[in-house]
Amino acid sequence: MRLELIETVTVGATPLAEVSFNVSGVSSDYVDLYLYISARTNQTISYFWESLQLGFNNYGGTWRGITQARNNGSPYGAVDSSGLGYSAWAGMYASSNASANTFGISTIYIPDWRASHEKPVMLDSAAPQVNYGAQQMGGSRWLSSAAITSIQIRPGGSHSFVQHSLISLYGVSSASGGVTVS
Amino acid sequence: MSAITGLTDLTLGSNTTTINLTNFSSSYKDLIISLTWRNSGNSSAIRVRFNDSVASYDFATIVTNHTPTTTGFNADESSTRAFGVQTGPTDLWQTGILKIYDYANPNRHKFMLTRHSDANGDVALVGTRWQVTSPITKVTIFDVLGQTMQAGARLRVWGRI
Repeated sequence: MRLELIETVTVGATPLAEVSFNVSGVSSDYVDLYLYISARTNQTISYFWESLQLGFNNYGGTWRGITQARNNGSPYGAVDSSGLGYSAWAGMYASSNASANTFGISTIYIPDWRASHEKPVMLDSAAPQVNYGAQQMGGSRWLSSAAITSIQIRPGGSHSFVQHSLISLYGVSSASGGVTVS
Repeated sequence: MSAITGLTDLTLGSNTTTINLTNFSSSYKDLIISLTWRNSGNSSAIRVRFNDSVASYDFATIVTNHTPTTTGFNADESSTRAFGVQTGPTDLWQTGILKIYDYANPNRHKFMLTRHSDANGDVALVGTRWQVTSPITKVTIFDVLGQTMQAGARLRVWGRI
């Protein structure tokens, strides 16, 4: 595997409501995609963390089954298999209520993103704080057999990413010949 | 030189009950395996064996499956739990990553860390210790409940130096 950077977005002084990657022209040599996110939002209503929303093809199609083992002060596990609508939860990140200079981090794995069946997505994230933190491991499925042509990431609740947030998209190269499969 | 080298990328052309990985170099530190698949039945439990051994697998789990997060530990099993126990519909595409650390080192037990999401009722983090010092030369992935991985499943293997 070679993990190669496709594109990265660094948020400047002006808050950014959404990051969108156009992947329609990305090389088919990449069999999987990874999102690496280090982000903070300007949410001020409540909580020290905020969830992000992940969408494909400009929030086309529907998502199902966010499953999460989450810890944001007390252990919490939940599943929603009833359908999520146009986007999936995409981890937990620091909000404006969090300690200064803290960010949430995550990796989001999008395997076999060109497959002609629904797409499973897997994520791990954390938003550490001074005395506690929010962690989440989860997964969702995009219930579409369509090719992924674009990827959107945005904070929930019409909030925005703040300065120094970093969202990067990587591709994983294909390979063969180093192992026998039977 | 890339620190991680691709070893195989395979899409299953037919339904498969067992996947065997052999003939990989011992020069890598770790093996990283990615599997995206769906099963023939409405429940499955993917397991792993090393070198055809049927003893000495310990594993610890953190799982969420329709209930609050649970933890568990199993000792001296005949195989190790690769992923969570999927209880979704038959068309459920799911994904998991297995990382087998220092697999060729003859001086230590073998350890594997896996992450799995079926995105319907289960996410899992599993840590395995195989109480054997022999280098791993064969990895077998199978469903202990007898389900088959359906055609179209995609398997990728990488070696990390």
